Amino acid sequence: MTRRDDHFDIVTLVVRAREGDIDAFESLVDRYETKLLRFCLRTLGDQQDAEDVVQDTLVQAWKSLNALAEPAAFGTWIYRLASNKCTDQLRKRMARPADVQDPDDMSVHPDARASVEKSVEARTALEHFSEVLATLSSEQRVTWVLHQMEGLSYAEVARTLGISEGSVRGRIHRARAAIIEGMEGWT
Amino acid sequence: MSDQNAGSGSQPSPINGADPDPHDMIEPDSNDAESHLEMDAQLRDVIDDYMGTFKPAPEDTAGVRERILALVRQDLYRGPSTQLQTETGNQFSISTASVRSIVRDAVDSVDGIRARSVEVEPAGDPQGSAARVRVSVSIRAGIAIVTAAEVVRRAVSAGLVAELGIPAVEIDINAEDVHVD
Amino acid sequence: MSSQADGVNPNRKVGVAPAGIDFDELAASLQLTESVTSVAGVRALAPGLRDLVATATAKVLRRAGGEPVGVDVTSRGEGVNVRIDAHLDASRSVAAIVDEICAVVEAGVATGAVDAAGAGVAPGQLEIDLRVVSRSPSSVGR
Repeated sequence: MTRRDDHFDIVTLVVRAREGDIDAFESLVDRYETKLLRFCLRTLGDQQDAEDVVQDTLVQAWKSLNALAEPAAFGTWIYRLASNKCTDQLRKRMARPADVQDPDDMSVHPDARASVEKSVEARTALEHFSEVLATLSSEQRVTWVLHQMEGLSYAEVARTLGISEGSVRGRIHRARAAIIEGMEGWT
Repeated sequence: MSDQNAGSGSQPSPINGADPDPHDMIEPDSNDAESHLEMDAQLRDVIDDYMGTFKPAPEDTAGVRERILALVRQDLYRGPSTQLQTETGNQFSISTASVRSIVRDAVDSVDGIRARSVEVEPAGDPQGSAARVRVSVSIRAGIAIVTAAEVVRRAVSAGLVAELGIPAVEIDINAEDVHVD
Repeated sequence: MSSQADGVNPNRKVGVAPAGIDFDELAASLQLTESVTSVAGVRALAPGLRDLVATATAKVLRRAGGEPVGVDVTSRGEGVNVRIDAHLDASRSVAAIVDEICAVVEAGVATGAVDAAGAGVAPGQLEIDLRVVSRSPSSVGR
């Protein structure tokens, strides 16, 4: 369905959406949903969790559009909302070890403290990589995915998460070190 | 940033002229930006594989989208209202979003104009028998603002009467941005 | 939501209003729901946004597991209050639909409201609380 507002700029869409223009909001959803879903899938490694986060993020965005001071910053803002929800989700998982999970599926192991060197279930580098990612702290993981997979620069990641570039650098460095070490012998 | 060939990372200089073996990397200095690229090069394949695993299927995206819009619509129905009254004196309440929508449609119908913020207040005597409208717009580059404002004003006035059935007592247009289609 | 055991506010009696007006809220509601929904331009009636459980109307109109949909009629001391939350389409101007809804409600209430002597109730005692919830292009069905 092509609508008139398919080509509208972000500022126009946000200003209209926050005044109740549901068509404008739909355009925003169309522009960001797939990217957000992919980001959440990569960060959380679980389809259902990712869909829930994206749904909650966009509904929250609708309700709190007035809190966005600069409509032009909608993209950064929406990623921040999603990142925060992903971080919360990851923290919840880490606090609940020993949930039974199918070792063959691609989901992240909830027990982040499991030793990954002698992982019996992982048969491929890819599966092992997923497990290594699960050992990162929530913050490291979200930061690393934003930079490494979503392609955001350090400055963009810093703006998205509302932290300093120095903090971003630190998290990425630690994440990289953990990943390199965890993947030793697998690549 | 050091200049690199995209995707190849930096390689240690070959000693004997042969292409360097990526597996012979020197122990990276953790503070070296180049060494980070070397680390990433080793993991490039597995990272690409991992990224490739997560391709949201269109039906999943559509499902999430429908749920979002249903929730948003419910929220919209609970939004604020504007109190108006018809010419025959029947008072009614209408969701403010609906009134704004009528004004927005009228503004958008003018070529090269995009409505942004819309404000509609009950006016007239008795209160609510007319409307006071303020609209901010983005206009296409090259369009003369003064002429455009007049065209928009007429469109809004006509639109209010035709769609809402309430006349406008005041229509204020503010061009706040320029766009290129 | 109301915690009334049977869902009916004891202050709202079906059949007799305190001022002596003999008025069947339920019958009026059912009749008005049908006539208002038939007005051109009315897509649907929405559940009221306030507490609907407290009226006999709501109780009867409640669909299995769903929200009551319809015109809410309550008779109180001075007269009759009719509350309508409507979704409209864009086939006519809002004011035109509002005027017709009001005319239909006035006619319906006048027919149904009789005092003890059987005479009609003056329309001045009728209060219509009408809210247009949404207005969609005619081609969109929802």
